[in-house]
Parts: sequence; C-alpha cells; structure tokens
Amino acid sequence: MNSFFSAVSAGFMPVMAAVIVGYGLFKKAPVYDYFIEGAKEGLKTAVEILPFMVGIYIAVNGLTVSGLLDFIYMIFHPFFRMVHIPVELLPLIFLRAISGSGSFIILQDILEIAGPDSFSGRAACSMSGGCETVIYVLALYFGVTHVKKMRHALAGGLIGYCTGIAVSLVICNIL
Amino acid sequence: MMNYIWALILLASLTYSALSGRIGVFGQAMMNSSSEAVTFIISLSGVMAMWSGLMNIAEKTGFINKISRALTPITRLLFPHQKDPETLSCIVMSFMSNIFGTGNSSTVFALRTMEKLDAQNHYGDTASNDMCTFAVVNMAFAPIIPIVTIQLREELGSADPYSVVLPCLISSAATVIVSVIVCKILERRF
Repeated sequence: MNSFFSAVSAGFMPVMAAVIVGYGLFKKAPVYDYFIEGAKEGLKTAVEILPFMVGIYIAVNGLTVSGLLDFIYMIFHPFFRMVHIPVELLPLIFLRAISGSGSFIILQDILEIAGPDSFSGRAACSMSGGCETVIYVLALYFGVTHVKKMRHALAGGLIGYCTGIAVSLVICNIL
Repeated sequence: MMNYIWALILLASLTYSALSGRIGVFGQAMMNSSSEAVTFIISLSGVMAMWSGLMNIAEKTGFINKISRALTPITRLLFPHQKDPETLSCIVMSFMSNIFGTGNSSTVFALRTMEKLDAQNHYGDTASNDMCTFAVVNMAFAPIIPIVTIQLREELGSADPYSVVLPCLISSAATVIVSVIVCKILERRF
C-alpha cells in the first residue's frame, strides 16, 4: 500500500507537467515561450520576496541565538511530554504561525537532527505542508482592505492551524 | 501588525541576549542570517522559475480556467451570497494556485479577491462574512505536492522523500473542512 502511494506521489509532479505541456501543444500554443515568460516572472518574485526573507531571517535567528526561544520552549516542555509529542517539534509548531521562511529553517533543522524518515521528520513535513502562516496571511490580506475589525478571521485561522498540527501528528503516527 | 511582531521579536531577543551576555553572538547572527537569506533564495529560485513557467502555460492555454469551472459548485457552497462572477473566478484561481503549489500567484489572486470583497463591503471597517471565510479557507488550502519540502527531504538523504505527500493531503483536507465549519458557526456569533 505504501509503495503504491509513493508511486502515485512520485509520478504526480512529472505527470502534471506532462499534462500541462501536452494540453498546451494540443491547443497549438507556443508552450516554450510561455514557459520562459512564466519562469522570468518566477525569478522576479524570488527577488521580490528577498527583502522579507532578510527581515524574517534576522528576527528568527535573533530569537534562536539569544536563547529566548529556548526559554519559551522550556516553559512548554512539560505539557508536550505529557501528551507525548516529540519536543523537537515545539519550535516548528510555534513558529509556523508567524513565519513561513523562519519555520523552513526549523524544518531543515528537525530533518537534519531527527532524520527525514523519522516520526518527527515526517510530522514536521506534514505540518509545514498543511499549516499556513496565519498571522502573516491575515496582515497581508486585510492590509489591502479598509477593514479594521477582522471579526472571527483570527480565531478561525488559529482553530484551522491547530487542526492541521493535530491531524499531522495523528496521521504520521498511523501511516 | 507585522510591524509590532517583528519589532517585538527583535527587541525581546536583543534584551535577552544582552542579559545572558550573548550580545556579541547576537550581532554576528544578524549579519550571518542576512546572507543566509540570500543564499536560500538563490537555491529556491530555480524551482520557483520552473513552476512559474509551467503554471504560465496552464494559465495561458486555459487549462486552469477549465479546472476552475469544474470547481464552481464548491465555491457556491462556500460563498452562497456571492453573485459576482469575477470575484468568484478570483477566489477559485487563488484556491487553484494554492493547490498547484504556486503560493505566490495565489497571493496575487487572494489580494485581488480581498480588494473586490472590500468594494462590495462599501469599504467599511468591519470584515464581511465572505472576507473572513475566504481568508481562513485560503489559509487552510495546501499544495498537492509540497515541492520545496520534498526537495529538502531528497537533499537530506530521505529513503522515500514523497512519503509525506499523503499526510500533507489529509491534514490539509481536514483543516479546510474544519475551517469552513468554524467560519460558518463563528460568523453568527461575531
């Protein structure tokens, strides 16, 4: 069963690329030109998000290096042990709500230390895949509107976020 | 909001590092992390260019539109009072690009959607039901294939880098369903 899922997953990306390109050819579209055009846009986006990355890297690395984060985790350790959640996942669970790129560094750390195929490694990947940076997204989305009162957007986002974390832990435990 | 969070993180860490005598390390970390950010973006930009290229083909040839149209029943379910077809197609495009893993094009569509919903809301200072539902549900949508995560697993020598695809899918599907239900319940109370 597992190898079937792996085969489906491994094949998905190339197949999707083939379908997109094939559909384009069928429509007699200049697929190569479109590809180059899009790739150029992608590179531009990469440059555009660079300033945000620098800002977030500084804040997140500062948080880690100063030891402040360790202090915060220490407070939460007993609770995590009580519910049998691996302690190395703590930073990711906290940071994922704030920063996507910051939590990516932490994901990298977890995969390097615990190993990509360990329970912690897989749960961490699932969390990064299934949970969105709630606070960043809300600030960005409502930033373009005139809204001052977000009503239930923050509560809804956080409840969804916690669901993603909890389901990731349960699923990786089963599969 | 980001202003306060960013400043708070920076100043709190600075104070803590000063108190624990690690201020020198902190200064060094600030400089290192800036260049680390650039290195990270350089390694990421190749993947990003490739997917943006493929997505551009899908967009220009109308492939995305086809899938969007197929998903219209779902958007009707989420936004029963939304009649404007342009807003609906922006919403679907945002969901779609999220699912296809092009988070940045999703952000573009999401911002366009929010602007349209803002106009429908007569630029009021209280969020409409559609705004909250859209923001919360769009957050919950995750890429079908988490490309960057898989690439990272591959680099770190995972025996099966794709083994996380199914857990990601299930957790994100659960998050979407819970988010929708939570929004529908909360919008009556707030």
